[in-house]
Amino acid sequence: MQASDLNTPISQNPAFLKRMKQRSRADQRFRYYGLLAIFIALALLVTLLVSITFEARTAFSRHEVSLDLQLTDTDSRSVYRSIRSAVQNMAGDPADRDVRIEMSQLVSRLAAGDITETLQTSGVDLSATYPVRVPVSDEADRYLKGLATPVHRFDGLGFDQEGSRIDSDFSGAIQVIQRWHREQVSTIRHREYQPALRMRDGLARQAEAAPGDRQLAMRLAGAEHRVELIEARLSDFEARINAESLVLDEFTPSVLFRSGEGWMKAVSISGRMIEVEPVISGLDPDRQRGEILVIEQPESQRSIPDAQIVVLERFQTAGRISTHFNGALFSNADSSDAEFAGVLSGLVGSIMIILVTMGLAVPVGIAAAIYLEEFAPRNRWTSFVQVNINNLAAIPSIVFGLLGAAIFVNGVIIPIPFVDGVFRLGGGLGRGWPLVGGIVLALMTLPTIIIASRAALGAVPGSVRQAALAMGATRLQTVNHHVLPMAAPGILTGSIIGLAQAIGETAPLLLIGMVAFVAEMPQGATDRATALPVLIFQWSTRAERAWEPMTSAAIIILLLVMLVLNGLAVLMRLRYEK
Amino acid sequence: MMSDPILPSAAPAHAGAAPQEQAVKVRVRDVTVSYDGAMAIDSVNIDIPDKSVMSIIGPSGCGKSTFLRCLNRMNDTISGCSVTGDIRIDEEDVTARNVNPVMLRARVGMVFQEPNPFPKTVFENVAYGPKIHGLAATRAELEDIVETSLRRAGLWDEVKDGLHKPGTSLSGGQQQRLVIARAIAINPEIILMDEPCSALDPIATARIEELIDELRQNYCIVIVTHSMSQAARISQNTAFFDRGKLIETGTTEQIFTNPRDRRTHDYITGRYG
Repeated sequence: MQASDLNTPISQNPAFLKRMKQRSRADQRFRYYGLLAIFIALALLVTLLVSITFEARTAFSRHEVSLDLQLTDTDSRSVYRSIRSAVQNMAGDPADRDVRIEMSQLVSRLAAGDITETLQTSGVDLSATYPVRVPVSDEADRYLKGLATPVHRFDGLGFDQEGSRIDSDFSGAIQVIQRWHREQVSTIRHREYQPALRMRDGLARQAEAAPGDRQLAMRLAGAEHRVELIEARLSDFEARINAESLVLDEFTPSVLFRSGEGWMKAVSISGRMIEVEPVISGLDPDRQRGEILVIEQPESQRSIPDAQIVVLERFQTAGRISTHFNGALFSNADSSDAEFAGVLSGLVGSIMIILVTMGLAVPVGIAAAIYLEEFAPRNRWTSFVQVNINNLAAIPSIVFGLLGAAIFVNGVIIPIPFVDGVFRLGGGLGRGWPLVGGIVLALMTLPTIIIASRAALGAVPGSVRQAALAMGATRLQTVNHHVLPMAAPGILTGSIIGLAQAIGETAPLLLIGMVAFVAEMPQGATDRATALPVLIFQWSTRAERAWEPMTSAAIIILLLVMLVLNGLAVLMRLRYEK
Repeated sequence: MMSDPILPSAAPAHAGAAPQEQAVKVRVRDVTVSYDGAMAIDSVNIDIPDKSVMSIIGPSGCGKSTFLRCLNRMNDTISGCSVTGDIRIDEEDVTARNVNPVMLRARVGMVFQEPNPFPKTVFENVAYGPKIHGLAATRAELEDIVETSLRRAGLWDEVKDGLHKPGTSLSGGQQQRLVIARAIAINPEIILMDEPCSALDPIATARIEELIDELRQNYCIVIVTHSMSQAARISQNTAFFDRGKLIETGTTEQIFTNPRDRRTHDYITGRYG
């Protein structure tokens, strides 16, 4: 620095002023970065919550159908038979075996179980009809919620003399079907035709470069054939769009007619004329005005056939379909049928697991932290222990699962040399027990609790310890009377964060055998059970589309459980800090 | 030069009024303390008389506080600290392994530099010692002890209406008197004070000094202080430490008016330290 600088007062020193500006700008920038980070975090959180809630919204309600059962007996077999015949009655008691099977699939066999239970406790007059409300199958539910396929409804219908041709204004339906065809054409062009062309051209160039390569020639021929097939399909679609009459089959949208109580299905449409066939024989239209339904998804691509749609629509018009809160989600155990599945068994399993975890990890963790922080001498041995506790906290949870499976469930098998025998260390606990899950999660949570508790104990000022010791308190009294109460909020927070982490853990539970399908409620900590996160994992892998909202709903329930836990932590903290 | 009267106004009436010979309460012989091998105090020999105040002065880092902590074995709680030598209270060796430091600390109370009341009520603070040592059989006895101690510490009138307010809500000076009340509530024999006024304003300091002067009637008090005038005002005996060594000890009057060692002279005249 130059000597003249020392003669200028600092407030007039240009170097100082320049630096000052830079410094305050850096300050500002830092604030903006912080705000940006918080904003991004919040935005992600909101996106997550909104998308899960949006996805889950349809899982909290379900459609139920009111049936009047003609009971023959009160066992579940007979009840189910009555339910089936009530549904088939609505379908006009079809003779066709396939249609009968489709009808029976509208209501799950499980529906009979609940009814049987009520029947056996209350008793019933078998001669009268017995009104019940049962949930419809998950696919029917999806259709009624409008999730299975887009449905377009048009008014008006008139019949010609013979009854097989209908004269009406079909322009709306035709538009829908043509638009669908055009969409298919463009999808095929983009997703299949263009990649196939690129593949063919690429192979052709390679084949030109290496004329003798036979394998390449064969692949080129295959690619050319594929292009031809796609071109044929495209021209077929284009021909259909441009044709005089639209031919409808299971690969095109379905066009269904309601006329009074009866239903028909279109085979082809041309201008104002349409050719029809019955959907279910016996449900003939009664030549009144009705409506036209265009079911956009082709029958071959959806899991709800036209006949089921017709019967659902009939129930709907008869006012027998109603929407209800999906109580089963909260009161039922897992089930193979989405409309009967609930999270209660998972919730109970999770609670049992977390109780075991809490009972083991919290006292052991706090005691270990107190010993290490307050009593243990500072030497190589204790610092070794400390380093390893920190390492333990960094171990992936799945490893704890492996450890738990090996030690608690299978046991470690050590062959005894020279003797024909083995020694089994550990083992003996059952696969999928909440007890085992709790122990494994306790091992996983222990380091978190120890580290958090040590930090909380370390934050208690040394002057408090000195004051107590100088008063003649023993070390135990010092810890119990002064240090522990002051560290309690931190210890509590750490413990609850550890437990919240444990309750959301999936991998270790899968490894100790909590992977099987358990449809019963667990009776105790030594009974096969499932847990909420495991349930979420299992539901997310199930094939039917109905499990998607169910999975999201289960996630929301898990999040709520965590929210309650964290709320509890805040409350306890506030109470302690007072 | 060495016989120059120093701080004439600071060699006050109290100190002059007390010099009748007292029995030796604490006898310290060859005490050496090291932290992880680094010498903190070296072969200190000193006799501390009963029912009087001894101040320990010296520059920062000279081992004053370390010496003080030897007397109630608070050094035991610091890892890496080793104490050798012989400390006798009433001729009883308290450095021996078989002496329970908890027992010793009940006899030797301590007041720290920063007021450190427990984060509990005023009442609980004072009652803590009697409670853990089982000195009060009934609640009434306990209340009696608390009141007496607070009165002796000169705090009763200020806190009697707020006994159940947190001790930490008091002012700094009040907190320090509360801590003194807490220390005397178990009726110790010796009270150690480690710069008890360094965090206080002059008015609070004056109150504590008055209190120390009163407590002298009943207790042996050892006080570490950085304030020469405070040492002169409140103590009957003074010890000067420098670089871990006890340089000089004697009556306060003698140390401040006629120090034998040049270093003592330089320190108290402000030329050193």
